[in-house]
Amino acid sequence: MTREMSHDEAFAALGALAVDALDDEERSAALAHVSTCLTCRQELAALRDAASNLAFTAPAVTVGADSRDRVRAGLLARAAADGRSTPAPPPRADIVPVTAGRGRAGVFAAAAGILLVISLGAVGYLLRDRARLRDAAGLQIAQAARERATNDSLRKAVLTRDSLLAGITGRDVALMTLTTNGTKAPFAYMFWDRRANTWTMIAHNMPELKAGRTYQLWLVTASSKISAGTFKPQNGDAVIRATYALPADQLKALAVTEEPAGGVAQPTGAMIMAVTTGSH
Amino acid sequence: MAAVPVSGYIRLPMNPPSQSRPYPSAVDGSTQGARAPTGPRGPTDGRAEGDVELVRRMQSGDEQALGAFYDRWFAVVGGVVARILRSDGDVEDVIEETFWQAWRQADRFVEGRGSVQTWLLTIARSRALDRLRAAQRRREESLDEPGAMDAATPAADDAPARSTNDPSLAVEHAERRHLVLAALADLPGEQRQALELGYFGGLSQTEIAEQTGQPLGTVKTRMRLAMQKLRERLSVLREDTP
Repeated sequence: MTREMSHDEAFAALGALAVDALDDEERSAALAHVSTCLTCRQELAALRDAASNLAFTAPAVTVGADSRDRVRAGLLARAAADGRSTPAPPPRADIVPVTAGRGRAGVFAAAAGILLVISLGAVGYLLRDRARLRDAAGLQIAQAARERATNDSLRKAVLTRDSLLAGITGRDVALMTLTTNGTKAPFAYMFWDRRANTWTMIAHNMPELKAGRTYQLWLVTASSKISAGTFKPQNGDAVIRATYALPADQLKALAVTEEPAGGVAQPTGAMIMAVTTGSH
Repeated sequence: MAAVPVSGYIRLPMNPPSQSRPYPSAVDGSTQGARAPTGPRGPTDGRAEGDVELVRRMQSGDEQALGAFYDRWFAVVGGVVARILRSDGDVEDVIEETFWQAWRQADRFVEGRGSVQTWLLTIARSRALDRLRAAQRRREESLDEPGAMDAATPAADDAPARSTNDPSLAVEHAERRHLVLAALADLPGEQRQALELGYFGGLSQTEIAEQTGQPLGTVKTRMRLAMQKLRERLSVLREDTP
């Protein structure tokens, strides 16, 4: 039997209830109280909303664009074939009332009954056929969705390339080279489109990061170091894009540092490479 | 040049949203105009209304609404599912099951009783925790494959490379993430740990006490304080559903 919880006890347990961290008995008792207490219901709703925001702190999903599109296509196909409203079962011929009659009336009634049975049989067949057609349509829709997803993916890839090219070939693009010392040293080209305010950095030879670390790009002015984002290279290479309006005379340097995962508000880690604006 | 993959994940800068200085916005694979920080979205922004409208359309069987809903929420749902499962194996499956359940049970969403975000992410978390527990049961039952889950690696990247086609949504997700991370960072470590073990680990307070070696009463206090602080800090994000 579920123990009764006082208001204060229940209220204190709402936080744990919001993340479903109560043991079964406590959970039942807390829910029983909440069902009768408007204050607790409102508080629980607010706590659940707050808890749901924790989802936004989760790391990036590692499912790629192809998988994302595949899941989307599959979902839409399932939904299309779902038939949310369940079709009524075909009427059964053997329960159709056929009133037996005598003489000519009886013959007509029997004939009408037979016609009705045949008609209902046909209706049943058509309904089954409709289900088959619906399944076939579902498959066709899934195929179309897959093709559409492929087209969308290709279009996005082309747009990305176009955008990248625009960011490095524009009339107002300044080129800076970030370097450091040593063999196989990391280096990068930064293309700053001062008209479009886009920053495109292409980095090579970036050392592999340890777990829990990330690279962070900084735009350095006389008064501040502005984070332009964190990144992780693949096989030592990375293309980083950012948008930020900065007057041309304010940029003093660019730098890449290694920082804890998630990045930092101000640089704390080792400088991986840098360039001062005098060199561009 | 074409051989260089666009590989770097970009996240919004770490400058707190409250700062007035504009900051760069960057979205992997696309270029956006410079944005000043807009701060947390309030109750009347179009986003919540858009979500509710999509769910309404899903309730009436509009599968195009499901597609749009999926596009809006895929990244966040994928993130929480991957974080809970700690392995890529079942992530895709669970994401699909989450949206499928949302589609099938759209009529259970009651406007005014909670936000779409809370409703959907509760489904996602439940499905992921179910899958996690099933995998743990299988592991416990299988003496031949000890440590199979331990070998699984967490999601590779710490940055929110939110793959969404809507740049403004990506920025909004990043802002929200930034605010939540800041709220978490303000919690004492032990409170944050209790909260994360509960939310992402699916552990009860008793299990958290066992795992951390702390008295149950201490864990309860930490959980309560953590949730209260989180609620206060994130109240600005709460959608004021009528």
